[in-house]
Amino acid sequence: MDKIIARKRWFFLFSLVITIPGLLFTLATPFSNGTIGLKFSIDYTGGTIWEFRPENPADPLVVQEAVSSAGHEEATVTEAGTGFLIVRTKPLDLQVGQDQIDNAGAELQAIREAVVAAIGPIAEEGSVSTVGPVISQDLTQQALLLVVLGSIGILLWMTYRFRNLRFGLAALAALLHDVIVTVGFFAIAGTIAGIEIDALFVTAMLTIIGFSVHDTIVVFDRIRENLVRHAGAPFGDIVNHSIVQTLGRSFNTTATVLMTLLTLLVFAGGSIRTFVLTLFIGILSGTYSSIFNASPLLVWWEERAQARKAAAARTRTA
Amino acid sequence: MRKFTPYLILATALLALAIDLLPNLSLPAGGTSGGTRPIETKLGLDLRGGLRVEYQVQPVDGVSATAADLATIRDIIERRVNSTGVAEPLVQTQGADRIVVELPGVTNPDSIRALLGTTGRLDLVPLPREVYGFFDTATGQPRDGVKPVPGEGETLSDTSLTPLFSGDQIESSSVQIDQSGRRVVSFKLKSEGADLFATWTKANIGSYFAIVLDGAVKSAPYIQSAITGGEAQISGPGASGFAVDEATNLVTILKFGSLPFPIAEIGVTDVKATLGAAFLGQALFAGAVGILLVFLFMLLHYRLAGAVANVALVFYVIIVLAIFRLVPVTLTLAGIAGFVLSIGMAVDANILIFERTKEELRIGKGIGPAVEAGFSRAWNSILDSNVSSLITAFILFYFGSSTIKGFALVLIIGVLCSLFTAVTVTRLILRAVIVRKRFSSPYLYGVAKGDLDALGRGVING
Repeated sequence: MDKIIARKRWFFLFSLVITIPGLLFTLATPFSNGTIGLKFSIDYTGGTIWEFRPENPADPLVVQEAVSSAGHEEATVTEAGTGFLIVRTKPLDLQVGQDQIDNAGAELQAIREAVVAAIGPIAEEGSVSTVGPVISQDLTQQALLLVVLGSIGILLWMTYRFRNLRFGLAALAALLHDVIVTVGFFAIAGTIAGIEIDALFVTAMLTIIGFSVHDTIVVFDRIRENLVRHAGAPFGDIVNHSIVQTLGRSFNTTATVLMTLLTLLVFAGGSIRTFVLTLFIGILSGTYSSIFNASPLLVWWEERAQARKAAAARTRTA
Repeated sequence: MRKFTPYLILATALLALAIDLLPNLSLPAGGTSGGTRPIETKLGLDLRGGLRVEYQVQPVDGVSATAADLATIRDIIERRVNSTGVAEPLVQTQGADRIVVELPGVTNPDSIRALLGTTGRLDLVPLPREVYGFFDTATGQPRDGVKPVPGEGETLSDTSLTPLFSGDQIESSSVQIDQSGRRVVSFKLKSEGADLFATWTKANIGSYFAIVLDGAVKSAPYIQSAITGGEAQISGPGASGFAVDEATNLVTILKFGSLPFPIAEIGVTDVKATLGAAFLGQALFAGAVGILLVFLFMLLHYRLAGAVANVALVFYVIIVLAIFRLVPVTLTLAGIAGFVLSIGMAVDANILIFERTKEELRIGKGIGPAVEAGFSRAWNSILDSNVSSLITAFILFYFGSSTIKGFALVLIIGVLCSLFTAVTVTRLILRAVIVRKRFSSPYLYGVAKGDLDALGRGVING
């Protein structure tokens, strides 16, 4: 416990180990033609998702063939778990004003008929969701904007509250660590398990940014307090002491939050599973980075500054 | 002031509880319309089922719609929606060129989409005899022109054709059955249009004219006799004419006028109500289990103090739900997740305070001073961390799309309320509790047995 700062290189190394693979997968996304890296939902790519439950269990491949024969070779069909099948195609039936008054839903109806012909009647319609290219373009731009703005906001707030740019930058580093870990996790999960990220992913990202900085703030606050109380003690010792003092709180808070997220993950269904999983990963990473990255980073910085000062002093005396 | 705080908090709790539980409450509605609106928990379409369509207004000949045009389009769409009888429709403008329509519990989404998305510009276009021929009433035979008379669904490619008048000259319209049993839409013209029509038909008996809706020909009959009464009809395709939906849609569109700019669907979501209800049940169950686990954790970990925090947490839930109903906040799946997350944040403040209190107890302070120190020392961290959450929540609220906005609003309300309940309410109860002798053991505040023994022997001194 008293060696967190002394072992900071190991903790930095661990962070590299958990960030680099995900980062590689993420960076491979634009070059791999969709085979490696993040899998984007129709929110980003544009397309139609149609969920339905057939009366008799059906092989997704058979359904895919039926949809394909209805003129949608691009379609993919997957199982949703509760007997529902999910059909993904390019955007269907988006009405432009010049269209005729009576053809809304015609393309989907054609697909539906082809499916019914192949596997029998449909027991229950779930949902149909179509996203056109305009919205998906909006979202991609919005995602980057939000994460950048969130980071800048936190950097400014931390720098202002601690009257020290180093505190702000250390908090920013921890926060980017969490963003990279989370995005990387989904790049790997997307490659291996085909888990898609949707419009809520960015929301989760920003929530993580706001939340993960809590732990950092608590430790930094304690450092500020201890700097006054133990004036003159080595900076590394003060930081280590502060981390240990706040460890109980950090663990307990993370435990309660993760507990609630875990219940949502287990019991809640639908579109928020990925959302909750994102929050879970990000907040877990946030606790680690606050304790083992942000504060040690401060020490590393201070030690470098002092080493430089000492070197300068030596050259003066020499 | 301090003397009244307990009563104030109690009154707030009772008021919030009343808002949470009493049915049929209502608030004066805002805006100029007056009236009242019911206080209720609003559920998003993903939880109650329904149709959501997002439109983008299309520029015409390089001219984009102004804010006033957007408002006009919104009004027309809203009137079209209202004519369908859908309960609680929502029609909003978004950004510079977007209109979002949310219709809960819709069972015929395709027909409604057709109604809303149609520009609805109706033109009556005379087709010149020299080009399209005419019907020779003397012989009872049609005479072919250079071009065939356009059929139903075709577009008029000839740009030299100008309409005699447009849909704005229509006074009223209705669905009718004509002599041969076909369903038609008949309309009555305003006097200006009626005069034009009478003059033109008198001079052009036998000529064809096209009834064109949004650039596509609906029908192209010939003039049998002068039409002086200002009444005419549009016949649909097929032996039985228009389908019912199509005919009523067309009447609605003619009634409320055409959109000044065409609109295009850029996103459509249709969730069936049964699916939404299932998601809601699951999310509520998960939330309840999550809250119970947090209760247990606090109780086991901080004992008496944890129980006090749990009371504050109940208080938090009551108040937040009341605010959700008052604002009102539209709860979506993501919003419920945000609420559950905010419970985690609300106890964070208590954990900070209690951990600090424990530290103070361990260095031998009495319960009273330790609790006070716990509150005052933890305050900075609590405020700073909540502000950081508010910063990101406000960014989401300001720049996000409507789903994201709902989630952000839940977070903002949650953070602000938790500042009040986790700090003020907890402190108030704890102050009342710690003065009692039997509640003064540090054990009740989460200090471990081993530490206590050491404390008794005066070993620990920080």
